[in-house]
Amino acid sequence: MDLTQARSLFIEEALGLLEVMEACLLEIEAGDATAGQHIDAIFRAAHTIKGSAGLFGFDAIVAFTHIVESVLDKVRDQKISLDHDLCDLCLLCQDHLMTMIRQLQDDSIQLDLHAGEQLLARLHLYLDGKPALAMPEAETAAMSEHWQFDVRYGADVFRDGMDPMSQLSYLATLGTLTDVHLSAEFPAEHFDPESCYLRLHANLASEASKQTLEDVFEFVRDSSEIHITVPKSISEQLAQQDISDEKLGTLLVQAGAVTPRELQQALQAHKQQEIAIGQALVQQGAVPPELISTALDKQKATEHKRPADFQFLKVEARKLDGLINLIGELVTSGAEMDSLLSELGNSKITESFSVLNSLLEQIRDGALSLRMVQIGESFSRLRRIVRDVSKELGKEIDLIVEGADTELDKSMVEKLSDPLMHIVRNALDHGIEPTELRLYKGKPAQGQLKLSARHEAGSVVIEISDDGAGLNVQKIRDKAIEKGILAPDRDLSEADTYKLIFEPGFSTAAAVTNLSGRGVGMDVVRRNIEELRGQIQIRSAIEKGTTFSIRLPLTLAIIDGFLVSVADTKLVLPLNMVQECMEFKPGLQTQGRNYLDLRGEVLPFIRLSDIFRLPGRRLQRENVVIVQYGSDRAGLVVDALHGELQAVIKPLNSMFQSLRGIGGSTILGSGDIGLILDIPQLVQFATNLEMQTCHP
Amino acid sequence: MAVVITPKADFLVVEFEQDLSIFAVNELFESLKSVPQADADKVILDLTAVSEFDSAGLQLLLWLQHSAPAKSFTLSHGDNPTVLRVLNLYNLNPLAA
Repeated sequence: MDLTQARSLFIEEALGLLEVMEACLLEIEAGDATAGQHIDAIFRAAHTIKGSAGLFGFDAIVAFTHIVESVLDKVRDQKISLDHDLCDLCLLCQDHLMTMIRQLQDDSIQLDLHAGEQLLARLHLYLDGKPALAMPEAETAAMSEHWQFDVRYGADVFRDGMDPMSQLSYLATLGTLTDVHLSAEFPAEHFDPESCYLRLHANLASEASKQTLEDVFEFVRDSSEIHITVPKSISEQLAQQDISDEKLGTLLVQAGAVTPRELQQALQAHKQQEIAIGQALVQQGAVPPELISTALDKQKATEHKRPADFQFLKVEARKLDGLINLIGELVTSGAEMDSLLSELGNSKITESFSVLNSLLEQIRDGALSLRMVQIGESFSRLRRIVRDVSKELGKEIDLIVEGADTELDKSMVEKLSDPLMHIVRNALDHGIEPTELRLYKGKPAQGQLKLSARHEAGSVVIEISDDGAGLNVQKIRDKAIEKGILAPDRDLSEADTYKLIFEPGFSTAAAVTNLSGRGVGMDVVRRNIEELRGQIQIRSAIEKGTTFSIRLPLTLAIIDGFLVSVADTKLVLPLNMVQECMEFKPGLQTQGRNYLDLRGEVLPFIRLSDIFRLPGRRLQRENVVIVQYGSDRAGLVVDALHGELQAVIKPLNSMFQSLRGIGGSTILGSGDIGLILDIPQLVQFATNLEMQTCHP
Repeated sequence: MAVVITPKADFLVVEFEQDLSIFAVNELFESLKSVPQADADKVILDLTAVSEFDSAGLQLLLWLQHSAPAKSFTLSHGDNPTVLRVLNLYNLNPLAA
């Protein structure tokens, strides 16, 4: 088995679980959910991480998680309550675990061992501090200085060719056996001499590890009940080793507080006798009570794991990309076929191909949707940031999340998380005022931050809005002039002034705080979003708040396009932006300016042949395609309309990256290259051009 | 015959032959079934000749003792090392313990 792969799977799974844990803790802390609702999920997360980390031998993680888990178990048993302090502590532990796990991936990450120790010390307060949690005296006394064995042999032991004697004599070689006691539990009738009814109790003074000792019974494990009790010395050592991650980890493994087999057994006991596993183990004196949680959750984990397996399937991203690439090729060759068929003019073949084509479209959509994930994942990460930042700044923030189930391409969600984080931090730091100031202004003390996502005309719109001070146009202007970004005599509209904050080197924050204003500013945000073929817009009102609105295309790979041509050049418009097509009558032009009357509405238009400087005579009959993006509409004047097609987007060479108005290219059915228009950029470009003509 | 049961005046001598192990217990069990019903109060288990003795064999002896609680059992092993080793290991000496 490829361990590297398994390891990365573990890391991914653990990070996912930690996110779940975080989300749950945050909800509890915010009062959106009770501890009872989420404690199982949190506990399960911790437990599963511990279990998997154990498999890989990440002892430090096992040790740390174990303590966290023990505390969580107390919460679950309602022995301690998950109050604000504990929530906070759990979140810190979650952070620490996150770092530990990231460290496995990336050696450059430094783990703050000291912080870890402090966390453990704090956790132990919860474990040891409360009298209710203390181990009953009797139990402590019952724990012996020796390993204790209690083996109830299964009926088939003799028939399987095993002899308890051989195990006992082997144990004798590992240490000193004392108090050996053999008893037999015979049935009232029908004694079968070949069945085993023996029960063995023995003490052993030995330095051997629990694993070694358990291995002695390996061959009878399946048929028999075996209890091995940890000597008191090791338990005590365990309890005393509070602080050091490493030592505790090693100890846990050596002492092997509870081995998987014991859990299995406890599970059986649970099913047969309907008693809690933990209880069963304590009764048998197999483990000290604080170690029992392990047994309890193992069972939980197994129970809960099953349905999840059916709901989700983990697939390597590489395979998915391969599939999508292939479908892209399929679409391209389908388009080629389509154009050949239309030349052929055989209606039967054309008809049958159109069925094939519609299936192809469905496959394409299906394949693309495989990559879609809910944006909620990104949002919940933001939730944490909001919490931490508001705590640090001493501001009270009410976070509202809408449309967390909106789906977006996985790669986009990943690339979005940094820009979103940045905008949120900015909103918290600069947007929302300190509490006193808010009260003074007559606003509610609690600031509001709203994250929303929704689908709109073939794109996804993500909005981050706050109810803070709003952007100060004058201040931005002054700052931009001061930084030399803006010429002092330039007049700018409000919207354009807002856009200045995306310029490199721009920061209005008077003081550079820990959170923002470090110069890695909004220009990076804008660049990231533009890389995703998206736009970012700002709406703001003084004292009312600011809204950042990010518009992204739904997918990056294949789109439904609308093919037009200007002179000999084939151009593709994203179909979801196309609203209607109509004949372009030059008479509609008003005063030589580029706008026309669309059923009484003013519609600016662009001549693509002018913008791209395409040679060719102007045709008698031109067409105008009306496109809409967001709330803006514009007309594009083209020569000919060719209809719909599926376009596999091939990114442009990096040489052309700065090209405005063209988003990519695609191979048409005829084998020609079609350029895919980036309509928002195009319209913006045309608007700027127009502005320059008006204000030379 | 793996076992010879000889009734004496007021006791029963159960003399095991070489094999007192898992391979013989079924056969031995059939022979020993009568022991609990015997009149004698005392039973002497003679293991002197035993050369194969395992936990299954031991269990059979324990069963014998268990199914005849009123009788008193005496074990005679004649310092047979095979038997002694098992008894020592299980901390069972004498069997009545």
